[in-house]
Amino acid sequence: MTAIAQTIARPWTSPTLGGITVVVALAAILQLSIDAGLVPDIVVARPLDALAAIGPLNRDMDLVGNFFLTFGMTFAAVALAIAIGVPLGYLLYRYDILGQAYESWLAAAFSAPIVLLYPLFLVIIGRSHLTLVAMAFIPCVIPIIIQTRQGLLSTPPTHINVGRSFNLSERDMFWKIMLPAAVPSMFTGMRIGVMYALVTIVAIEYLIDFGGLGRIVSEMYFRFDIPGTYASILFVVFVSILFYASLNRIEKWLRPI
Amino acid sequence: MNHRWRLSLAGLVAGMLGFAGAAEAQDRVRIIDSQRMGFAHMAIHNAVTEGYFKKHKIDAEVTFGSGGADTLQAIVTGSADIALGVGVLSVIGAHAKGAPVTIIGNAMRGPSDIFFYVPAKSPIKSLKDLDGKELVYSRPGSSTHMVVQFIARDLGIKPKLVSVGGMSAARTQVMSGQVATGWSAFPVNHDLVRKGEIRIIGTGSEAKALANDTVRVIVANSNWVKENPDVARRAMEAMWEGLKFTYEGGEKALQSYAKMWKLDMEEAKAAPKFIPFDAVTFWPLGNMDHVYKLALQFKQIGKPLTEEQKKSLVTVVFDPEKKS
Repeated sequence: MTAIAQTIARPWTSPTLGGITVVVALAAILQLSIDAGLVPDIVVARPLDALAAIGPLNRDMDLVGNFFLTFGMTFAAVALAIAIGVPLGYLLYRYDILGQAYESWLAAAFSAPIVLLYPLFLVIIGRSHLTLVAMAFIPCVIPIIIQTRQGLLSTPPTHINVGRSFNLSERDMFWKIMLPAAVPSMFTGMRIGVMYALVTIVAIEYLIDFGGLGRIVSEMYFRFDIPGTYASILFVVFVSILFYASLNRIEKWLRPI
Repeated sequence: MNHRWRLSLAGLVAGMLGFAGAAEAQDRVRIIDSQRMGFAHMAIHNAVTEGYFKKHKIDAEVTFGSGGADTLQAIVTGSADIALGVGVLSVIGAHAKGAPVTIIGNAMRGPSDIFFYVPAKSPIKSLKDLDGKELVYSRPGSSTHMVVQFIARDLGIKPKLVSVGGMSAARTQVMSGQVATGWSAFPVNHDLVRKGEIRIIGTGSEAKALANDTVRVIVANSNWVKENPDVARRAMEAMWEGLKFTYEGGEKALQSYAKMWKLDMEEAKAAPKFIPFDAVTFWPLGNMDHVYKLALQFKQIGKPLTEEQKKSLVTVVFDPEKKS
């Protein structure tokens, strides 16, 4: 392939650049659609207007500060969920009877709209950011537990047989074969958990005045400031991107192949 | 037998066609009631049950909303035609940004229906005791948020203004000691007042600067009003008759209110005191120059409305005073 062709093809061969190119292209299509009157601008903000609203929003509502607040609470909930969820997932794997007994209960609990219980959490824990972390922890830890167990159960028998052929101890079998095999499944659980933790925290911030990006979305929406609303939603997306990029890196480090 | 079946089928088809014909004679209007249990909002439901909509050839499709931006979005996008009880500041903000909304009447002048309360055993006796203590409101930018700021200013107190969400969330938090006060709008939680579990320490009337201001409005999609002025007029006329029945219908009207919302009759009888008829007549809009200043102060608009914007903001489709 010639050098020019390679340069042109590069965005489509580099995943990151390819992704950014697609996002920019979609934003351009949206901008043109709104300008052409195909999409109403009172419901959807022009991408350029949303970007332009970031500066004033930061001055008026401390957008960056609230970004870190939402990120921080989500990080706390996710970290706690991983610290508790992975060992619990292992426990449900290790003692199969527990796994069989509780996995379906956990799955059922996962589908419950925990966010609606926020008045109860406010009463039990109090009016503090700890309430949001606690509420986000619950929908975050459940998929981590389930996926950890499933990951360990799904270790290919071939790998286990190879380990046995090398006379590995049970401990070595776990650390060298089973856990690396379970990493993809565990990280799937973490990604799902991050999603639900972030949604829960932003939703509660939206409902009550606890700061954070959800509060800004609420206020902009109330003021009918559509560009401001989308600008703050964009920052929620940035929180999500940051988490997913970090999880991808950690997963690659744990399982290079 | 075949002949009888054919006759029955013909009758059924004729009946359906007749029904369809009758239905076509009525104009469908989608109305949002933004305040569940609101006494004055019985204007809509009484207009349905007492047949005022039918009299004016209106087929009213009534749904419930929350009174805030969500309800307004439904009007903006054309999902609904009229909404009763939307916050005036959010309507002004939306209109200033080019949304197709127009005010077609007043829903509430002054915030007299809002009240603040404490648990019965609380040492707080009045709003003046709230220096350094929590005075709550629903959400930033809401009418309750506006009210508490004016109360603090008018009474010369420095409370901690805390957003607690809706009335149910406020009740949970105040009764569990999370915050010192709760907020509510009549008749919600008024049963607790009668039972002695909570005490009212003040109402929205204490925000003197807002006493005559229109705080909630009847809003419509302006495109719909332009295309259907007669339908809009008839719908408003039916709701006006519903409103008059609500206040002048005596025991029947109060029973209808109590029954619809499963209230005690004592609650129903207290309603006109909290929400007087004078505050909910469709016109005039109260103190709009002050309301425009508030819209600027609370950042609903970035700059003052132009005269053209003020003119297009309000559309008089029906005025009971000028009814022929």
